[in-house]
Amino acid sequence: MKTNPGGQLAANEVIGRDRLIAKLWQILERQSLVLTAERRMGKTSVIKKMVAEPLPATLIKFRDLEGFRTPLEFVEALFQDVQSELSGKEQVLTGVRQFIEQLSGAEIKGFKLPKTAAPHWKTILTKTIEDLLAQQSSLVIFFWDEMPMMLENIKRDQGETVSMEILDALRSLRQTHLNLRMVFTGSIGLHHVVTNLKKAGYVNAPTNDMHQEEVTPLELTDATSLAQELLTGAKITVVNETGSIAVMIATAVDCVPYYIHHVVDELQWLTIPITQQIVTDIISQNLYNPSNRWDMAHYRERINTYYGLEMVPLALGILDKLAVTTTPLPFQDLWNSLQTQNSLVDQNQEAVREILALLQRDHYIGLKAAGNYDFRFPLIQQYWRLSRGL
Amino acid sequence: MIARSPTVFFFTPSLMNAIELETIFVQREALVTDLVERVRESVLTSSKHHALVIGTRGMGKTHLVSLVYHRIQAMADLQDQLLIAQLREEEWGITSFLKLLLRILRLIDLPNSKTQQKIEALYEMSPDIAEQTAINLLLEIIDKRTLFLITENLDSLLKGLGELGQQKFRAFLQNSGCCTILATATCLFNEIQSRMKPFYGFFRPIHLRELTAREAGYLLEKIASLKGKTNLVKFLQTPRGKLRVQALEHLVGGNPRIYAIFTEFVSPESLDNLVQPFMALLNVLTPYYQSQMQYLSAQQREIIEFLCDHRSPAIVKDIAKYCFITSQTTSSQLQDLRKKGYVKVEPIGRESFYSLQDPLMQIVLGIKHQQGESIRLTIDFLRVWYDIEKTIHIEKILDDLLTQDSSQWPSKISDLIDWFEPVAYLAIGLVRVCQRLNTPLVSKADAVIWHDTWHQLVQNRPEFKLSLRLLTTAIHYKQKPTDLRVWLELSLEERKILHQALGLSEN
Repeated sequence: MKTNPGGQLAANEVIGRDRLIAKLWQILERQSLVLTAERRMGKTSVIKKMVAEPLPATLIKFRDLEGFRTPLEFVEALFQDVQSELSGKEQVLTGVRQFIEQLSGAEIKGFKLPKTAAPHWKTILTKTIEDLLAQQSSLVIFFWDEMPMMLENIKRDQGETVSMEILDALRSLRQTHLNLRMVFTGSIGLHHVVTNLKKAGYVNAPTNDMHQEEVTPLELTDATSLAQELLTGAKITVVNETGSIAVMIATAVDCVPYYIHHVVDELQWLTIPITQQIVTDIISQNLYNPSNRWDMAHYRERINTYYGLEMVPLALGILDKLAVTTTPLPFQDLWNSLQTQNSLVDQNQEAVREILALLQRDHYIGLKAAGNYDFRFPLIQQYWRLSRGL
Repeated sequence: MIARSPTVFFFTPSLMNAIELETIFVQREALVTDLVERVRESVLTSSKHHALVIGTRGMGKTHLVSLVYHRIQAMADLQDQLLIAQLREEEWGITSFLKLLLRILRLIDLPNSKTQQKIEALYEMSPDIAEQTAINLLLEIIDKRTLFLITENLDSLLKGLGELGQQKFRAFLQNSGCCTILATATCLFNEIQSRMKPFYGFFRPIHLRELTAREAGYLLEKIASLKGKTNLVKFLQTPRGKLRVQALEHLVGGNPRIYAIFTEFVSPESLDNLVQPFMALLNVLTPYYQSQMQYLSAQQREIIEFLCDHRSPAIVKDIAKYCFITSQTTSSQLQDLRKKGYVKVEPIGRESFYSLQDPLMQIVLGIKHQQGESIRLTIDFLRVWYDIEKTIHIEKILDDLLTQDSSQWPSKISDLIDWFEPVAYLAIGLVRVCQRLNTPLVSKADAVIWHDTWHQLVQNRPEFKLSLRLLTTAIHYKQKPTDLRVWLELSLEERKILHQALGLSEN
């Protein structure tokens, strides 16, 4: 198997995701799904594997939504996807066609909806889904990648209200049609989009009917197998250390498949036998070199982008503290520690809890069963500690 | 159809045919094989690889992608499963995703004239309708095949597309799953490095390595052979020819384009002399490097000029002071220059030292200030430096002298300066004995006396200028062997000489 960092993997190259995928299918049998994860954790690979290997008698449609700026573009894409699915059948989108023809006074040709349809996008959306489900008795699943990005783009170009309406319209469709499922995934957290909408007066919980599931790193055994397969595929010479090097790579990058691909890819071009020290050096260089390809500085910059100005010092205080602890901290210890910092003494416990929840949703920190907090990924903890001189 | 010709197109190797490109290809066979295998895999399976080849100008990116293109095109078994679209090296006109689609449609082999008419019809539509129609048309043409998209200067392409265009392009790639991309860029850039951007982490980056002296020799041989310069080929294969290439590599580094240009005006005789073809090379490269400056802002040009004159690495504070700009502005300009591949940084302790990335740029742009004379002397120095046999005798004499009482050094060194011919060899011998100077056999105090004596006697002689600089740094190194700042007294090519003299690794 060849390294392929960032590229599209064939379904059989997606290693270590079978249990997760089986779980996702089980969830989808009963409800829709929001799939979350850090960027490059492998969300798209997981859903593409699901699309390539669907359950029997299930209709699946995948669409990356990031290029859309209006609800009509989204609805057009849906219309096109459904139309391609139903082509050849006698009753093709009768309801929606009649509706649009009434609006524009002309027959629809192809996929492009007339501009006069723009204010009626909700009706077209509803009718398109209705027409599809009228033809389809089995489960219909729409995998919509980069949904938060589309909502953010629409919010920026068309205003918050339009984004809210899209979320509400989709929720309403899920409530109406029992065999309709949606899977939302994206590189930015949906919760940030919804939080921003709430600041603009949105009061609904648009995804509270959907199951939230996180794509986590691989299990160590799977990550090691992946590293081993890639080392073999790259014909890398590892003297007497093959097994241990694979384990070491997997462990050092927190079992994240993207980084495993990257590290092995860099090893491939070295002309010397690979040792554990070389692997350590490559990872360090990617973590700390200012022109690194892993863009670890993003974890610091993102705090300023997505957290309110007043929340930034507290978020940094929490992360700084957790970066230097070797064991997970209970809330009280964390709180006490923050109280020793002059700039944070005015904070109250509720504000800290709120930020802890946000940091968890953004995958910075994890909450252990015993109620203790720690960094979610040792790799990010390592970067945080050293980049901030802690 | 391009006529077969032995002309080597230094700046647009894509104009050369496959045989010529293969003939003069060195060092990167494993890389091309790997890239070709990945394109094959992308065509034959549902895996899709996206590679980004990174190298500064002249590093051979176009040569490399042209070879991949030709090798893939020659694979008969792929032809019914593959479409190739190779964008122009500079695609100034692609300012939206629609224009990218139109460009691709223009480049691929179309199945029939009806499809051509469909493309023409796109220009009659509104942009949003044309875009969706073009996507559908392209997907219809690709059908079950794979589109192999080759795009140079990916950074310009993505910048031209803008944020919306990038999002649409990525969405197209994700939705269709039918493309494999081979791209190039001069450096890593924000559009693929930042997690906030659509193409973050999308490409597999491959950094091109510079040629070693040996590989540069092979390249010169291959180009000379292609051009029918058999005498030059023979000379390059001799030990002496190889020494000259080593000296050349010392000065110009490992940029393949420089060697390709160099072969234009070199003969066995002139290569042996080295000075004349090297000066001719500088002359030819002057407009090229001047044009590189056009891409920069006025402040950035000022910083580059300062670094050219400064010769050795400089810290932000000094650059800011002499350019009359604030340290903050200087830092941000230097960061941008580093991203663009113009400068490099060496962090030592808490300070960062900046110098020009390309040693030849430093020489070419600094040539007016240095009047060319010191360059001639440096080339002469290097020519003899690598010809170790020539200086063995004087090295032995100086070695012996070092073992004698230091009180005798002034008179004996004066004698040597007076009678030894050619005096340039004496200057080189002075550097060669630095290794002995650095051993415990010579005390630190004696080393300083040796240094001061030489400075006193030859400081006004141009032939000794470089040797004295190297000697001074050698003494500083003896005094503080762990202080990396010592090395920053020298330019890159000077450092390389002293490393060799002291028997140190270049790292």
